[in-house]
Amino acid sequence: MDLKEYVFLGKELKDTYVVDVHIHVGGSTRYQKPGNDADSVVYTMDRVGVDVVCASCSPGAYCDWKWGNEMCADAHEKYPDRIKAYAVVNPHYTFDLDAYFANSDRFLGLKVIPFVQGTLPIDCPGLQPYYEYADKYGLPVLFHAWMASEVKDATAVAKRYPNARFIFGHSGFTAFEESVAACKQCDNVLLDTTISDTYDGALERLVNAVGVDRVAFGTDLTAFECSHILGRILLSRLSDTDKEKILGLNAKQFLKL
Amino acid sequence: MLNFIDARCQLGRRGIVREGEPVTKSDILELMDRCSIEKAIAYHAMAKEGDMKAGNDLLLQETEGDERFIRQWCAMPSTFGEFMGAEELAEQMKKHHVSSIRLFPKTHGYSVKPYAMGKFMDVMAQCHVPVFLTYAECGSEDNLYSLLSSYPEVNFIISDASYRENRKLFPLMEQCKNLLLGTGNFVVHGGVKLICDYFGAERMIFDTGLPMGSATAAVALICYAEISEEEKQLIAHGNIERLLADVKL
Repeated sequence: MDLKEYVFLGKELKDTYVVDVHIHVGGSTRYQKPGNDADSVVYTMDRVGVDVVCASCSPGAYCDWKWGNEMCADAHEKYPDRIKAYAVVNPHYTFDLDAYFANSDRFLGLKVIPFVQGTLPIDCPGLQPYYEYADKYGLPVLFHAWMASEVKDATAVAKRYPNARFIFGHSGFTAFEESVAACKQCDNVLLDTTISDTYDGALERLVNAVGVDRVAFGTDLTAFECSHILGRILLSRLSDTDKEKILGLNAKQFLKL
Repeated sequence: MLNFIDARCQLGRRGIVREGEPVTKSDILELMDRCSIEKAIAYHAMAKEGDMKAGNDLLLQETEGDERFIRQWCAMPSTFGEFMGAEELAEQMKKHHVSSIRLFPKTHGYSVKPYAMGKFMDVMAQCHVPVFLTYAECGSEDNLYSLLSSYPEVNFIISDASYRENRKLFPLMEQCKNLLLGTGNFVVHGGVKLICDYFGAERMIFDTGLPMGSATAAVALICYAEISEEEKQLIAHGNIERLLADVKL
């Protein structure tokens, strides 16, 4: 069966390995986020056929990172094969990352989103120790990289720390030129597909510009749905081989899952 | 397999086109075919962005003899000679097989308050003409509430409500039974099922916002929703077919 047929049947993907590199658990004071707990996430994954998600905790990004990271690690411990956890870091605090990563697989990598922590830049001094740690241990780092300035900063970080692996969230659709430049300059950068609203043709444009190996499925679940982004991939003009790379194979290799 | 009627499609040359975006009518038809969209309710870019009368005329030319597109005119309340009066509008719509109207109050610079909408909306109510507009074009939730509650006989299809609007949108849907939600960009996690559970599948109308919006995303949102096949059929085409069948021009 063609991959696009799964959409029209409303069936979960089968025999296709699917990794969502960018989701959130936890609620929000800013807007309603239905189904933001681990059980609801896994329920949705089963509904559409996602094998693995990589999650950070939304409230932990905005305020209490300690509470948020524990919540995210608990989600992983409840569903160790389905939910992987990013530890949110905050440049206003000092983190003991050994407590998260040494001799433990509770966390997969780091989530960096200083935009909501006083609109600090991604390349700010307070985040350098965490990039150094990621570089030392080859950890993945998920950036919130929406604006062109964020993508430029993220590119500078990726160049400086070549052993770390960086996923640029959102940027392929919101800062296209800068994202293409990042992929050309840095082998350790992957772009995700996370966006609430864009046009048909945007994904094909991105793949044509950076190559299909540099794009990975990401959705922002539970900040919003995942099925519309799945539809953009499955109903695109790309071949099923390329769709499978974006849906999971690229992330599997990049994140060493 | 679900067949869809898209309740929000724009034809014609627009001012801004992003690289890779559909442009021509044949581009849009290719996407409709790819996404199992049988028909689309279409207005013209010129009627939104340039000249309303000229755009509505262009729509007639560009959809002549084409059964894939259901004609929609952009309109506004009579503004002292600038646009035709409500009765004339209804006559012209009947003559040219135009079955709904789309409003852009923010872009076109008029108020949706009853003092400004006046007789225009009364005529739309008498003729059972569905009225389409986007959430952002209303300006505020209070404006939207004023419009919806002042004309309870008019069915308003409000589209492009983002995933951040539930706390404002849901009270409006509870209070105003004549608010039908365009599904295109309503990407709340499990949102389609939420609306079905709280308000019923009758309150949603499938739309895409083509060519600037995404048909592939809009279709998947409905196909993957955790609702019954009957509810999907209503959202995909049944509800809009019911509204259009009820038009009395």
